[in-house]
Amino acid sequence: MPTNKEVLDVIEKWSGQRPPKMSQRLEEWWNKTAPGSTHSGLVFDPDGIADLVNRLQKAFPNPPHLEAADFKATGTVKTVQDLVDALQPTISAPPAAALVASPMTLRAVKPVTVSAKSKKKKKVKKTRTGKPAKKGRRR
Amino acid sequence: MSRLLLCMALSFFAGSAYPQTAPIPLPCDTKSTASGVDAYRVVTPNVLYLNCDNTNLVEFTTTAKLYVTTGATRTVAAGVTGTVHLFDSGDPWIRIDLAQAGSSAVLEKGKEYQIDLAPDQNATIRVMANTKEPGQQSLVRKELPLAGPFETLTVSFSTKATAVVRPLNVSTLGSTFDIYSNVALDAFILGKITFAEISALKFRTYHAAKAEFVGAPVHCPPPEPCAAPRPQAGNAETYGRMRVELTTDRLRQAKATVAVDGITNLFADKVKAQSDVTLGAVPKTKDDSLLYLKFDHQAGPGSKPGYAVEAKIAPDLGPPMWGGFVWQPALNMDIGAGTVSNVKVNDTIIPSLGVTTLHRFESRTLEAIRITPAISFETNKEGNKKNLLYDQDFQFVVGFLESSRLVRAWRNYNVLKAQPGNEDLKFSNDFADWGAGLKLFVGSEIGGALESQAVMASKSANTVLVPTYNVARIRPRLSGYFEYRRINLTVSVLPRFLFATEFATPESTDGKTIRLVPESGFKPYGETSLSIGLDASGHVSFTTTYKLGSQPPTYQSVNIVQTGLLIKY
Repeated sequence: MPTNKEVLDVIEKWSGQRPPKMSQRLEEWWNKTAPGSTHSGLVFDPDGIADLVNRLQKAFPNPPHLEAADFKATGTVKTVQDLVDALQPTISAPPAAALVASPMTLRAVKPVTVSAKSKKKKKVKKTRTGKPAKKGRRR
Repeated sequence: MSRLLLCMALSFFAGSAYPQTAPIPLPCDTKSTASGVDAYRVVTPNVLYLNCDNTNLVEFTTTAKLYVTTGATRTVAAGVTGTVHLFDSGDPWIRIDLAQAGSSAVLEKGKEYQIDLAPDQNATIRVMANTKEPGQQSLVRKELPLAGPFETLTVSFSTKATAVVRPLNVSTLGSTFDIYSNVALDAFILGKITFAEISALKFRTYHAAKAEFVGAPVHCPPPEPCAAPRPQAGNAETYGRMRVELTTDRLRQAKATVAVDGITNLFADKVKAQSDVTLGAVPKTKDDSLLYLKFDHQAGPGSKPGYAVEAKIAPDLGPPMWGGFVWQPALNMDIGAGTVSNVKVNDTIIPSLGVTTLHRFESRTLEAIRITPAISFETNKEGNKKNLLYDQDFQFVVGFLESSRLVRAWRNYNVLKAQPGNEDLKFSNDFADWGAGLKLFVGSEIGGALESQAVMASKSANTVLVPTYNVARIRPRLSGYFEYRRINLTVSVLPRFLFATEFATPESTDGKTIRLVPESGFKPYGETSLSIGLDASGHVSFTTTYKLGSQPPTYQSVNIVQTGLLIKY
């Protein structure tokens, strides 16, 4: 279940810098960060892609699987946002209560104050002695 | 963005206590995400998430004003107040809570809205930014406040019940689709989902499918407001998303129009999810990931014209396995027909099945090693060579030996872009004219001939018997390139050494006699190639290649110039 930040962490380790935008294209980012970096001799396709796929698999063992073809020109993953989207798993067996939104506390936008005077007092049965009646069968 | 960074730097050095007089843009770029599927999410009638596309936000607190739009006019939503805050530090999404005094739900189904962020130009913004500390040379990443006033940002959004269908990934292309709705989906019964393919004549072909939610569904029948559930996996973009998988078949055409019915959104509105999807990417992507095809033609006075084909296909297949290895089947061919002045081609066909992985060292000298073990089968066009080998190859990527034109262009671009007045500079390969590099490889080939063979001369019955033999070779290789605009010069030197004696069967020039020749020791081979790109991308080029030396398994001695068309991906 990778969050945006977790995916950005992987990309930062992969390229050496954190992309400032989610719409940043991965190939462009790899090339842009290449000069003077530890990947100046590695081309995006296939080296950069292979390294990224490996890092993603280590960081997120169970997301929908991605392979090198997904990052190539005709694949579906072009930007950081595309990558986050592609890594999202489905909800396997959601507990219904957790998924369905509960009525909001906003319902009490107009708070109701309960007056002490209007509060109904619970009647207490009294015995002849003035003490509250005990629960249970009367003898 | 660059204007924003400039303002940030100025505000930092001037001291954040002094506000800017001219309003600066909010660090929220909704234009870059507007055309995509992740621009915003309506999560409840009172909660809207907005994608700012910015990964450096630490705090984003302001107010918002809601408008209902009809055509070009907009009307303020009376009595509605909006509060804005960042969903999470470092996350690009901001959450906008809309409240209306004395009422409940604010947003209604099927309407167009606009929302103004920081309508009073006030906001509390903090971002992570690279800055120079006094007395230090290197940039330090630290949290900085942004001083206002800020320009009011107007963002349009809709509660109309539409959704986009997109393929999930290449491995499931044609069978698994993701649905993106900007309005959170209701907790409807997933079994009622139908998936249809719509033909050009608007006929619907239904496919059996199963559906699953990606994001948390929101059941919120009007007019009651609801609390927004936490986003699934801590990602606001998961709201409004589900995944549909075809269970019995898959779409195989290049493009298709697909529709998914049975979806309702949080307003209990039926969602129209229909899109054109491109599905033709799979074979192209897998097959051309590493493709090299060269068609050469040879002709000369008094000689029968000849042709030669060089091909190399080596796609990486499937997800990584243990150790990050991926399958890499490959085919290397250098064959031809006809001869010009008795000059022949290498005549080699080598299919192989291997795995490959790249190991990075995070170093600026030895940046990475690519390790490729494979089983290969060496043969020739006539099929009279049959060597089975274990082929182990190592490629060493040394940073200072590589300075490609692309990397040089990015280096020059980054320098130019950092200068004042170049904020809107766009990258182009033309920022560098030339590039050069050296690639180092070391390989070994170990195995042997599968069987003894009787090899006959091509133009007589003259025959020799080739016994079985062992193969033990070491194969260092140095490959260099120099590129100047569309012109590319490559030199490849392969000083192979044979530790075991192998056998070649060279023919006489008239093809009538054949000899058995033992081959061992130093067997060098080299190629020099000059190519001129015919397209801007450099995938197709006109090329001239000079080849000298001999290659296994035929050890045909070549000294040849070939000219042709090269297709390289």
